[in-house]
Amino acid sequence: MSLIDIRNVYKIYNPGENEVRALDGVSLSIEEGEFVAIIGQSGSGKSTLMNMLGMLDNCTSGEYYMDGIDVSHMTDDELSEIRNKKIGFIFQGFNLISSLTAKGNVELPLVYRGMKRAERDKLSTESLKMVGLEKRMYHRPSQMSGGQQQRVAIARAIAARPPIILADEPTGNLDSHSGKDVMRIIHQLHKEGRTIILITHDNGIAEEAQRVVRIQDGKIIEDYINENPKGVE
Amino acid sequence: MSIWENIKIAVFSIRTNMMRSILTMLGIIIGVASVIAIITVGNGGKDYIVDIMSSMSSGAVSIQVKTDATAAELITKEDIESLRGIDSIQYVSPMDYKIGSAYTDNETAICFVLSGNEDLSHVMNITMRRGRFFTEEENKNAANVCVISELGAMVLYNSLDCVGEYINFQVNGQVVKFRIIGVTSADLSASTSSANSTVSMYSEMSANMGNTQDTMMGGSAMVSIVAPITVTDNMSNSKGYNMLYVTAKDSSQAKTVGNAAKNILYAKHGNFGSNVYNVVNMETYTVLVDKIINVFTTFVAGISAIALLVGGIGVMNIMLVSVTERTREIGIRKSLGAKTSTIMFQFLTESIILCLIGGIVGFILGVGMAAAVAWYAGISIKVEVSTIAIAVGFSSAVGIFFGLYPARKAAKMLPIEALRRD
Ligand SMILES: Nc1ncnc2c1ncn2[C@@H]1O[C@H](COP(=O)(O)OP(=O)(O)OP(=O)(O)O)[C@@H](O)[C@H]1O
Ligand SMILES: [Mg+2]
Repeated sequence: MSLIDIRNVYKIYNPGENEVRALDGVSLSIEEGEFVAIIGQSGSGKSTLMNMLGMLDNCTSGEYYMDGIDVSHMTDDELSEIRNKKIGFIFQGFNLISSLTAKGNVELPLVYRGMKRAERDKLSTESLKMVGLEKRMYHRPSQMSGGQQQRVAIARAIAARPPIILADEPTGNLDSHSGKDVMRIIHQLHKEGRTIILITHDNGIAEEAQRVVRIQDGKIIEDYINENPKGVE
Repeated sequence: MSIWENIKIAVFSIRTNMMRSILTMLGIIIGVASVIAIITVGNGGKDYIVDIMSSMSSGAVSIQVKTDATAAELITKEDIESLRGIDSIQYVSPMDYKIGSAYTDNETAICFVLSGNEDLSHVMNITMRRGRFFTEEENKNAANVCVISELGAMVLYNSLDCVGEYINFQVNGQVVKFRIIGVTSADLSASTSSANSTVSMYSEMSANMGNTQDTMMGGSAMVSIVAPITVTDNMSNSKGYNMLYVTAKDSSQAKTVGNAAKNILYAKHGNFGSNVYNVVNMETYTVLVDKIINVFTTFVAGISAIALLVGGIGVMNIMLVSVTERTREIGIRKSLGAKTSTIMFQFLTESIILCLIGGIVGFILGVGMAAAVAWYAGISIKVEVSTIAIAVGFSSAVGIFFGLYPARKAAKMLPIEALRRD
């Protein structure tokens, strides 16, 4: 039984005239502990696929099983709970709440998990340390650089220790040095046993994954195991 | 997630978005303040009118003797004494008046003398500003003492501190020198005009004015004084009185007591069926007062409703804007695992806290505004709990509804849709 199993998923915007097939019959299964890179050009449907995998969006048609359970018919609140327990999101545009400090943002998934304050404090501080932001805990997103905001987003994704990390272009807005920092963290998370789904348009970064799924015009055109994943220098 | 946790999130959110929170509260504050101020001032104005109207009557009932009655049918001192013995009657006083001129060393004026016994102050609601009313003793001894109206004191002495001064009253060639023992704020001429005698009083007044024109020196202001009825009795050696006033111990029984008194008069004079005694319970007057009060009440209610509406729209707008602004935040929270109910609860708590603070500040501001207006207009106000409840309740209900409605809409969206908003 796969951790994630989607079958024949379509996402069609503006059906009829002018329609956009953002996902055009995608089937994909991902096992626990895998490190998968989803690669494709801009507009190929990567973010759409990630939203689908993260249950943030519904598909026009198709099936979705997580741990063998059909999630396509679950209620909104049930999906919220699964997202909270299982998935850590790193969004393409960070999606931090601007009125909250770095720590406040990182604590959000813990709050919704119903954690006590002391525990939240410990976990959020730990994950901010992990991304090297212990000195920026009480800064607002607007007081931080793009790379620092990206790292806050990562800290938030890992704070609740979810088994799955969904990362959409986590190095997209970063210079190569900060990009490498971020990739090091992702490799670290993978080593700890998490399932990593990394979206990128950068072949170099895709090479670091164990498995590469190439997508074009909403279709998977290539899906291969990378025998020699490149380490981060 | 505990309620306490929720409140902390809400307070935090309010504090970190100070500007937005202040704007939201401003909507509530203006709504609550304007509603409280308008209702309070409106009610104060209404009470003021009602007060003036009701101060003209003390709840007393008057019994008047028809003008064509014989001398034997007039009300006598003995009648008054026997009415005094009735249990349900609290005060009873005969009433008479004289119109002539008054002069002091320096001033001359038309003078209206209202007379009765020591109960007159009660049946006519004569409240004292200075000094005192005359006593039973003074009435019995026909002491030449009087209580003067505020206006009269100002006309003759240009001051309210005229207790102890003397005033000469002249009518039909007779002069009585009264010592002033008190000053009253009651409008004495208004009191009598309510007793149906307006026409006769004014006709008599103009007749006397003709007589006294030469002594009048052009001063047309009227001075009203109240004197013991025994004094006016001596001036005209009257056989009896045309009018009396009674008040009931139980004020709701005024009419019944009036009728009882009337029947006693018939019994004493043995003239049942002659219809010479009429109970005037000021019904027409009451109808007029009621009408004025009703117009005022409707007016105040109408203006208050408009204030509520305007306040409500203000609150609604700011709530709608601030929540729509936060659709993306709601999307983020949902993608991180917030349930619809959690988000609703957060927004509910925020709305309640904002409405509460806004309500309190608005209440203080509204009362302040009302007090300022009342001070300026010279009316007294009292802030009623119902006013506060309506103002705060309505504004909060609007604030909470329009805070929750868009929040609910956003929380029900697919997270990705909410995230795409900016
Ligand atoms: N809400 C929408 N309405 C209509 N079309 C949409 C919508 N969202 C995405 N699309 C279209 O779906 C396609 C896939 O978009 P998607 O965001 O998944 O691309 P992407 O691979 O993530 O691109 P990028 O690398 O630029 O982030 C695009 O052609 C896009 O125009
Ligand atoms: Mg994308």
